[in-house]
Amino acid sequence: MSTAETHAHEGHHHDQPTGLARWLFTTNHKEIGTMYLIFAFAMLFIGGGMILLVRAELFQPGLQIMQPEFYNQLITLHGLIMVFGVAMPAATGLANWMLPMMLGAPDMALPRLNNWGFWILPPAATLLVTPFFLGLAGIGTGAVDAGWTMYAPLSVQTGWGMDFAIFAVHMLGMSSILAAINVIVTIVNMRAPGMTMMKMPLFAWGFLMTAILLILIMPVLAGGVTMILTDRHFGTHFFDAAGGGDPVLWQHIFWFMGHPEVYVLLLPIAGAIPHVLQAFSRKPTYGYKAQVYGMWAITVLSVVVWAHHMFTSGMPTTAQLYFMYSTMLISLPLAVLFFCWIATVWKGSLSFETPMLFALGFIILFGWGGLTGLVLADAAADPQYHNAYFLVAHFHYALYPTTILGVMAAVYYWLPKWTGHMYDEKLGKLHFWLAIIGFNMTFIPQFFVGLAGMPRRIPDYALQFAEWNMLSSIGAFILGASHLVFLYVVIKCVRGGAKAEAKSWEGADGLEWTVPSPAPLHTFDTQPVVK
Amino acid sequence: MFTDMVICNSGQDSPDAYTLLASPNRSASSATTALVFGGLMFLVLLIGIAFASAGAWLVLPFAGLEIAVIAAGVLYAHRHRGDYERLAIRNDALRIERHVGERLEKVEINRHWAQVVLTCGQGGHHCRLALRSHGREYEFGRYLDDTQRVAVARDLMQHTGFDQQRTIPRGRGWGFSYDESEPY
Amino acid sequence: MGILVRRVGAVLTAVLALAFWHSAAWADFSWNFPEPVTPIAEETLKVHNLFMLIITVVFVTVFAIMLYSFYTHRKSVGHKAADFTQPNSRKQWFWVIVPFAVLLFIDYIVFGIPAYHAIHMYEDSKTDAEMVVKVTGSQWKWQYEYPDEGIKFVSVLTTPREQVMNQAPKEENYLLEVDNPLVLPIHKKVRFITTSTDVIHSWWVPAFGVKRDAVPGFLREFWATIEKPGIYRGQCAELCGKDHAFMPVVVHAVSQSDYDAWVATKQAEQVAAAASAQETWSRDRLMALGQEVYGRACAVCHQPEGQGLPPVFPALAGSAMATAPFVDGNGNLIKDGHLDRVMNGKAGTAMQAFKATLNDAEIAAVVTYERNAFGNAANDEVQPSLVSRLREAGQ
Repeated sequence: MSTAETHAHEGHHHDQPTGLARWLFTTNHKEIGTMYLIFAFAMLFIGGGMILLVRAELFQPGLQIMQPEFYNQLITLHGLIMVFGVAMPAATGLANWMLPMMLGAPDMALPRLNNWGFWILPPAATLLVTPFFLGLAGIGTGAVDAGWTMYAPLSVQTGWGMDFAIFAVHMLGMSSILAAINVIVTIVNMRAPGMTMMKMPLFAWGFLMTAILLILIMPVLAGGVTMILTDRHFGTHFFDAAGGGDPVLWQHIFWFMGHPEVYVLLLPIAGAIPHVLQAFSRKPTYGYKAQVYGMWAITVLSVVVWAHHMFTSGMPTTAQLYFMYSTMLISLPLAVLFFCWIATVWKGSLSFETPMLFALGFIILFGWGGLTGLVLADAAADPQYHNAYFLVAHFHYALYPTTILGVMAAVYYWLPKWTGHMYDEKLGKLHFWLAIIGFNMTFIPQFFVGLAGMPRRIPDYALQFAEWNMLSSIGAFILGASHLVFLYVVIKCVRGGAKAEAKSWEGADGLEWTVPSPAPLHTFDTQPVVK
Repeated sequence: MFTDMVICNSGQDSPDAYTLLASPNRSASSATTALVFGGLMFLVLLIGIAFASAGAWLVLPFAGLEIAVIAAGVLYAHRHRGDYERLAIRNDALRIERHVGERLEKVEINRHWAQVVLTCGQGGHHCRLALRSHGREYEFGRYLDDTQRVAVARDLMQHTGFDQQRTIPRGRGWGFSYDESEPY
Repeated sequence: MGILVRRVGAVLTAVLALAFWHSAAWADFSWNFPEPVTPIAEETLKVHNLFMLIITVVFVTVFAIMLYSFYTHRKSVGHKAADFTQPNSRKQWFWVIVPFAVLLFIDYIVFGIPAYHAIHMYEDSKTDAEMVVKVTGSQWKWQYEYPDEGIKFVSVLTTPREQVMNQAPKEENYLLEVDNPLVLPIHKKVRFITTSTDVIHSWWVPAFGVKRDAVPGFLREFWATIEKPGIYRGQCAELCGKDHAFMPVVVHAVSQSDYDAWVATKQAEQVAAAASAQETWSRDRLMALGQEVYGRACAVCHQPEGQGLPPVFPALAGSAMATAPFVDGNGNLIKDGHLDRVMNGKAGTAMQAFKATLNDAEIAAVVTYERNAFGNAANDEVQPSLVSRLREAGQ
């Protein structure tokens, strides 16, 4: 009895379109999650490829393979792509896949919105990079080249790649807002019976905080880039002193978005990591409440410290003092999270599968990123680090562990649930060690070359910086290669491998491990109830 | 969707033979929803006004736009708070009520003429439950999951004009296929 | 090529040294801030060293605790998991509170109090300031002005293009050498005032420990008292477009007497330049100076042969503007004419107002040059006296 065919054309809501249409119109949270993750991964290769070109140019002093105009496009696109094209979509992909499962909900609350949220991304990314490729073909001036911070008036003065970037940022922002609204409504309204807020998985808490932050900061960025657009083409003077404006206003706008953005990227990972830690420590999460309150504190503080990115812009002394002391305060809730993570591991029954390695790598490297952040908070010492390579190394120690190592930990942890197969453990470990060696080799030299006085965003440098830069470039290529290993592991895992059980890890805990692996398209057969 | 499901099955021959009320699971009260929306709106406007007063007034329209989108999302969720499906068998009448958003659909059919139609996709997933009478189908159980649909189908068969000679599969209720072309 | 081989060698030895920890292999690598020569730089280095020590200790301690746990609490040696999820006794609470108390102490006492004083010191550019230097950033050069001494000059990179393009061996101060360095006396508190003519730049000399943005339309300030004579080098530290990497800062710190002598020479030069601006210049003399000025001020954007980099940097060769009249019948500037464009720039573009950075003779010469080079045949000239008169008239 060929029932499947009979019902395939029955219409109604059981209908499963096939091919492209299926992915274009799907409202299923798992399919949308998969698309987010694939998109993020593709962008990782584009943004990463661009920065490898940069590192190749910086391998030795002199201009070897590109001109400064092209170099500036590469570093700008690298920043924008990694933040808006990789880090945020990767986190949103994880949220889409896991939130409904972890909350015991059948899907996201607003599935249609979810579909739109994703499908805004590819056109936005295309818009962002189109001028780059047109420029390569000799048409126009190339992509946006004012740095990912797009400081006015440079961004007002530059070529039309900037206009493309403005519209791309609008679309990326819109996508983030749609995802954020969906997450908030889902978490507030779709939790399983009995799952009170304080019983919610930490991952849901982390993403809830991220969603709230996105909603607070995105209109500011949207307004800001629109002001650049009107300054460029419609004769306004928001950022032009000659017309009564102020270039530094842009910096306030940008960093009001940009600083919380760091926590937008961190919080979902800070939420996911405890799940990995408890699974491989075979021990319940330490200090659940403390972690929830810590996340709240980080969220609140993150919107009131932005101007510590602007200590060299000449703010009043009192403003510098305020932003310095408030920034130092953030170290406290972050320390709470670190304490809880380490206490979760402490006296557990530890095993070191790939997800655990990535989670621990995240804690250790992000720890160093956070500690160096303390130094940068000192408004009097900051000018010596600011816009030097020390700063570059610092924020890569903050962002790479969260957005890549943290996401990798989560991906390896849930990969069996998604694919129904166990990944290749040996290759997973190879990926980890290559990434760790490559990363440290890339960025440790940058601390020192920064202290020696090398400014960031320069395509050519003085001879005293040469040795460190060469070391850094070699590291960058190792780091790049590690992601190829990951690509191979994922493809291999999707195509086959040892069968994963419903509860794929001995110590795993949570509603998502009660459904079969791979998780069926519609997750639960019966409504789970949390006691 | 998941369901707060209340079934009252009083046996085949009593006048109020069977009632079923199903509504999707909603974990937020109106007050919570209002608080979340109000809080976000307040903060977004506060930030927008602060930037406007610093000269960046173009932030405000975007803040307004965002609040509108959030409002639409919250309203959508709110409008569907009262969604439910109700099926009641009293004497000879089988009534199906469906409340979606602001709309209330009601239909009444004769229970002896009603026929239960359960169709499932491969592996017993994606089941669809409907009642058929006089050549028209009335879908039911949108807020139920597959297991519940099968269970309800089984219940209903006992109360409707269904040929009770045919056995109904036992067990978890899925893992096999039902075929529309072969009504029970 | 020899240098490359040597450098690769150094890097490889360093990588090996990582394994065998051999300090000599690191000789080519610098590890910390350059030697501080101002009070701010000394304070910063002190704070930096203390910071680094503390965070390294914190990091190593926590890392050690984690490594201990990884080793001891392994499942493979049969360690059974505990199940605590919070502190349970007063003693445990005490040990939980301790790290946070230590952190607060480090933040607000160890770092916070010295930072408070350091910020006040950093920002106090007015008290006892003995001289003023105005620093103006433009794409891609620095202009220095000594208002009290009446000295004003532009400082641009002198590293030849061939070295950048690897067609000539790079010299010691590659990318960190300029034609006119800033000259300052030692032991004098210098109050710097920064601004910009186009986009944001940032003036930075690592040995001084100061960095301050040059914001167009606004004045920012900072100060430095150099305590040791020498040549100090730095770079622009805010992305300012194409040649951001090629606008270095060079400061010659000299004794008071050397400084006075330098001031006297500079002033004499400027008097001579002002006087010659009133002479009538021959076409050849204008063209010779014009070519030199063009190479220094215009060629980065408009290119050595005037072909430009359209559409952002328009071509001058064959440009209609470069052959059209530039003053009207009354001897006033024609709006958006050639001379107007060079003197006053064009708002919203990279074309800056060169009357701020070039003197009368230089403007006259470069405009003359542009009108009669690259195949342009305006066959006229601009006299320095005209530029001088227009400048006086506020045009």
